[in-house]
Amino acid sequence: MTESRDTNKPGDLAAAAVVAGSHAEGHETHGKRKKHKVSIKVAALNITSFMDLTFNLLLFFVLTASFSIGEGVVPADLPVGSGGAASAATTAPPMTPLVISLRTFGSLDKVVIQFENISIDPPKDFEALYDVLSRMQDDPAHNRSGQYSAKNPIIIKPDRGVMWNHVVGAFNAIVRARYSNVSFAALPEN
Amino acid sequence: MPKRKKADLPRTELNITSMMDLVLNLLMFFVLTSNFALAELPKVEIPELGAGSQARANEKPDKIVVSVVAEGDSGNAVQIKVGSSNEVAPGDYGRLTQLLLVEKTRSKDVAIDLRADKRLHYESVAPIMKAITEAGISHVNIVAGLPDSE
Repeated sequence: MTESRDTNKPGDLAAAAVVAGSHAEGHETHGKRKKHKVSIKVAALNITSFMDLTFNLLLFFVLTASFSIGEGVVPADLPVGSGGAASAATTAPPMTPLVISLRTFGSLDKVVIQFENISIDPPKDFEALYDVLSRMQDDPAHNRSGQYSAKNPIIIKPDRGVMWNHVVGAFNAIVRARYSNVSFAALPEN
Repeated sequence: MPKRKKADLPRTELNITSMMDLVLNLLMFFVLTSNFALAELPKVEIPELGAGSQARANEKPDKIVVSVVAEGDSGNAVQIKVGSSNEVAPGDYGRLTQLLLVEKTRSKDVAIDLRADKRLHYESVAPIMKAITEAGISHVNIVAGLPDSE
């Protein structure tokens, strides 16, 4: 028993060498090549821990990445100074500003869009507001022959309770109709 | 005898070379595309504008972002955040102006991204816009959803 244990002790390499030797007996010409092959296999790179690390990193970045943020910006230039849009209105620009008022109606989701100083049917949504504003614009380059220039000031005048979503919707419609001078009315002090 | 049998068995090894290539490529992709600055901003439901949205992708990420967080569907603001660290209580618009004035001295041509929740009422957002203009900043970008890609 002890003898056999001793011969086994040098490990697999010795065992493999013995096996290789026994093979060599059978096929004498290929004996040397077989031995070489065994030593190549021993020199394989152990990348297990590296793979563990890589998978962990991959999982971390997959889970932390946030793709759903489809956020963009609609640029606006607000009038500088105290008073907000009210001061812009009192400086009396040569062109009469178009005042678009937004009012809540019934449930919070609904909004009424009205032009304050011109008589026109209230647009039913912001798509309609965009249509109306486009038709009102004087822009020969885009086949528009209305009476308002693109630089005509437009003031958005929402009620207190109007949702921000609607305010931005109105602003977006105005910017989309290529008006460049848009401001937001300040709330009346009370 | 059993020893010889073991050596005769074919060594079964998975060839993971192509998988490793794939994994490393994925890793590089996520390392390079992940954006941690946005993750620091408070969660806000931004206004959705549908297909006609004029919103453009944010080119300059180093703007001051003023986020206004809504208190559920009540329409009231519950928190105002300047950037990712400075917090202003709703109603304390004087402090908001102060903070923005400090930011303004740091860089001349300052722009603000107003990132307000779509459920807020105008009375909660208007004073914030007023506070921004009182700080002498006129360039305000309103954060909204990008056009739906249909």
